[in-house]
Amino acid sequence: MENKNQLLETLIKAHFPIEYNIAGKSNVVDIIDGDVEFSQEEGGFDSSMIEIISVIGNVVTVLKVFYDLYREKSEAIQGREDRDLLLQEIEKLRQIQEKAYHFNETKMLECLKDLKNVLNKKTK
Amino acid sequence: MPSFLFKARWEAYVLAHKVTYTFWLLPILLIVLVSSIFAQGGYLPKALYIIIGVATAIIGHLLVLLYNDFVNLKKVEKYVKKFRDCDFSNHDIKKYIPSDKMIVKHESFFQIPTDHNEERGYFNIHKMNERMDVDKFLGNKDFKTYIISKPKNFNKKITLPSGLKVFPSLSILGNYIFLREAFNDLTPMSKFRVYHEIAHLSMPPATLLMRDGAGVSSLWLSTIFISFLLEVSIFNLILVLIFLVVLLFTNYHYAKLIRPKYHLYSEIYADKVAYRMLDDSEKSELRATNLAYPVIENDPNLPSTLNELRKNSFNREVNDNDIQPFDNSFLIPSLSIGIYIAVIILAILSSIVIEISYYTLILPSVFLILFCSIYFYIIRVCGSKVMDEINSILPES
Repeated sequence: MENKNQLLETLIKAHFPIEYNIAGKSNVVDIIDGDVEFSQEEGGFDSSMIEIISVIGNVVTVLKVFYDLYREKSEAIQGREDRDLLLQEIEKLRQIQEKAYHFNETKMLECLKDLKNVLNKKTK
Repeated sequence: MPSFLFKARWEAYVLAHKVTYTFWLLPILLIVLVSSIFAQGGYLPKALYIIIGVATAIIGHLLVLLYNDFVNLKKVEKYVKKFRDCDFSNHDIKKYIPSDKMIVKHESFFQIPTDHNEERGYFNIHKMNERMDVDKFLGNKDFKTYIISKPKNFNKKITLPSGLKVFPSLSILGNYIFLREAFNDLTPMSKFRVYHEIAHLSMPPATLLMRDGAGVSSLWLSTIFISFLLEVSIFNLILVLIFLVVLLFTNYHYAKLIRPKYHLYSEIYADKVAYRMLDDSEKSELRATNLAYPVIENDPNLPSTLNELRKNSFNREVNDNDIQPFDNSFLIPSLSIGIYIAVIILAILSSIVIEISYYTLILPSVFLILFCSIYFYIIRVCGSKVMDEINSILPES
């Protein structure tokens, strides 16, 4: 589990450096850990933090879905149902990010590609 | 207007400004001095009257500062209670703050411009670029710093703060800083936020902001004090009403016109200091962040036009490394002028009608002692209660 979380953190840091920079390491680690919610404080710098956290939260969701699918049944990733599920998650992320600031679909796909490469190496 | 006249007027403005805001007792001292000179009464009662009048002003000032601290402490209590299920650990932030950073020199803050557009009262920001010891900058301020984290063994969903929080206080109760990780692990964005809040503690406008509020309140207390010296009559009642109208106008002028501009100025100052405290690599990371997400967000306490001024000022410095002079022409201290007019009206009117004797001084003295005792007692009792609540959640430092 620790490896999975570290891997996800590394990927987010590499592909979403700005979001990582704004949220900070602890927040990203806690989002990946799960079972936390974040409270928005009044005014000032914190007002967009929740938006950024939700962006990272969605990236994490997609990465987790992808990771689990790949680890548990790596061949089935090619199957239509799983692919649809993944696309749905990506679309959800796209909508949220579009609303917030800049959405970079290529960035997300690059991130998934990296994850796939790492997992491929691990499963070999 | 000929330039020497403009310069003389501007110098006069700034002098009035400095005197009023750095030494708030002066207008109040003027009231008691002028009124004691013209009022009827012996020398000794008049001397006593001056002492009591000045004491009223000082105490009025202290009461407001104390109240502001209490309100700040209540906010800390609310914050700490909200995250009481989290782990709080002590952190010594001071040793991580580098002491060789270029920050703003205090004295140059109200420096009169010499090489920029004088007619608009530009402020020469180039003179701000002087190195200064951070220890001096922070002074002997007490920073109670804590790191908030998710508890290790916890079996329900936990609420964490999304960002860091700083509760700066200008007087006695200390400053509270809550971080999500150790200072050295903070990202440039988070460091920028901490520096921004710390900059508020030392900056002249923030201090002045507190003193302004205290000053206006001291004036209220002095008016009440003088009112006690008046005999009950219709004429004197009208006089007190005039006092109140003048004070209401001063308060309105301060709250609506001056305060937002000082607030803006203090935010711009803190942004600039915070950015200059970062090292080069942190600055470039912050610049990259600023392109994707605006580092400076709308401040709900500022009107949109002033928010834009702040963002533009920050973007100019961050993106273009442009330290153009900042237009502070709106800072012409009209409040000082207003205060002095109010002071002269109050002093002249009160000197016509008051009679200063030991007997007439009894009532205001009793009022002052009673009012202050009750006020201090309430703040002390409520303050200790709040402190106990906070200390029961936070670890001992």
